Amino acid sequence: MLKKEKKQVYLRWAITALVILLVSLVQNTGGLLPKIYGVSAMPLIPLTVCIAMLEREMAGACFGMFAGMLWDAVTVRGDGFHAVVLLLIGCVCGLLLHYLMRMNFVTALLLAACAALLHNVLYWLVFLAIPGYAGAWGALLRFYLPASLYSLIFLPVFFFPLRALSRRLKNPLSTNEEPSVVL
Amino acid sequence: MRRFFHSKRFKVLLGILAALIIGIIIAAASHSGASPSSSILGTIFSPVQRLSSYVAEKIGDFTGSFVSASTYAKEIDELRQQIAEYQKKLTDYDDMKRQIESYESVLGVKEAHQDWEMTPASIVARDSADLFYAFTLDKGSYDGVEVNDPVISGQYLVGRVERVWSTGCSVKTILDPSVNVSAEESNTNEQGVLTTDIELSREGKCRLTGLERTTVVSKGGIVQTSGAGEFFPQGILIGTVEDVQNNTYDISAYAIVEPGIDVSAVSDVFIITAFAGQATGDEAAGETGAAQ
Repeated sequence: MLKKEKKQVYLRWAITALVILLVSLVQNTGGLLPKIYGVSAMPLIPLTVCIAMLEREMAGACFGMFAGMLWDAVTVRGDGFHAVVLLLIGCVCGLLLHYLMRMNFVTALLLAACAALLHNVLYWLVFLAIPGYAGAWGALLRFYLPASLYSLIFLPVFFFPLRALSRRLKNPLSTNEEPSVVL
Repeated sequence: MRRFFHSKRFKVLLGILAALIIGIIIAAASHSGASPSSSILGTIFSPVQRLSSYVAEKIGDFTGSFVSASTYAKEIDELRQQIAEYQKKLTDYDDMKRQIESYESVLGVKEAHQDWEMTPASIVARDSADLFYAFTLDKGSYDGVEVNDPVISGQYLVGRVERVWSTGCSVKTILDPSVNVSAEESNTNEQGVLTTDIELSREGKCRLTGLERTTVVSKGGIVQTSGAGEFFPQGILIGTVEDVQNNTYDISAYAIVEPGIDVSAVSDVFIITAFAGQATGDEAAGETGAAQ
């Protein structure tokens, strides 16, 4: 691996980690992101998808885990849930991009929608439906499904800049080429 | 040169000079102070002068707006800085006022309950995936906070500590269905358990269950913690009764309680780290597990 390519990889990862930190602060600080009819946005999910699409499955999983751990730091139920789910999302999105899908916005939208739905339905299932809380179905229909939709609004905000950054720092994955840099 | 001095032109010049000097003498001697020549010329040319000064004034106004723009811009910047400073002072004043109000209300609580040990805390984060307004505080085990410690805002119960680490803790609010509080109606002393469900929680309300069908609890009654169960000390206000209804599946009744505080909007709270009769950590863990 060339020294210059290594530096670019590390720089890209450092910037990605900072972006994750910033977005988690914005998501978890009350009042920064507006609620629409009581529905909150969860931008860490589309961010994880974008990062996983631009990096390999291992890097996507690691960054997903990092994002999930930051989220778990402020959660009150299921410490570790977000880390596990976002790790899986990162890994699966990375694998899909590597073997099956191409890098473009439509793919990103599809993957982010599936990831948001998966994460929120799982959360609802594990922490509301299975414990048997009355009104759980209402919570799914009126909060968690709309929250998945609301979170997708942030996808273009992350996808295009991160892709541009990857191209700038010459990440071959950003242009569907075979990478010479391996995690 | 000699020819000039002898020429007619020189003589004419001398004549004009003489006239001017005479005019000066007349001007000095007269009341008006104006020589005849200047009076004549002034009369003839004053309209032109007025026109000229009018034009000059207009030109001056026009160029003045460009010349003085930098001055105005500088003044505007200075004024903006002053406004920003005043706004910051106003914000700081509002923050301090809010803190003082919070401390004043807690002072009353502390005076009424001298066995309570409390530590102030601020909300630093809210879980966006949680429906029930759970939040994270900036005080943790280093500050004596333990799991199940009650959290209050002013005189009202907000929730209890769910997770603790060295520098912070997460709190579940009373709008969380998993939080059950032993409570009583202050007027009738009828005891029950304060809980909620998802639908009620979305309306920002709770339910005081376990009342008898013959209950005399009525709308407007004040609900507070009863102290039973050793998780919450007695006497923390919760809210007011909005309605009393009979259960459909047993012979008990319940009261709909509207919390006295908006848990989604609190920013500064107090954690009751110790009180008389508090369950210890092991007892609390055992009872919490049994309850769940």
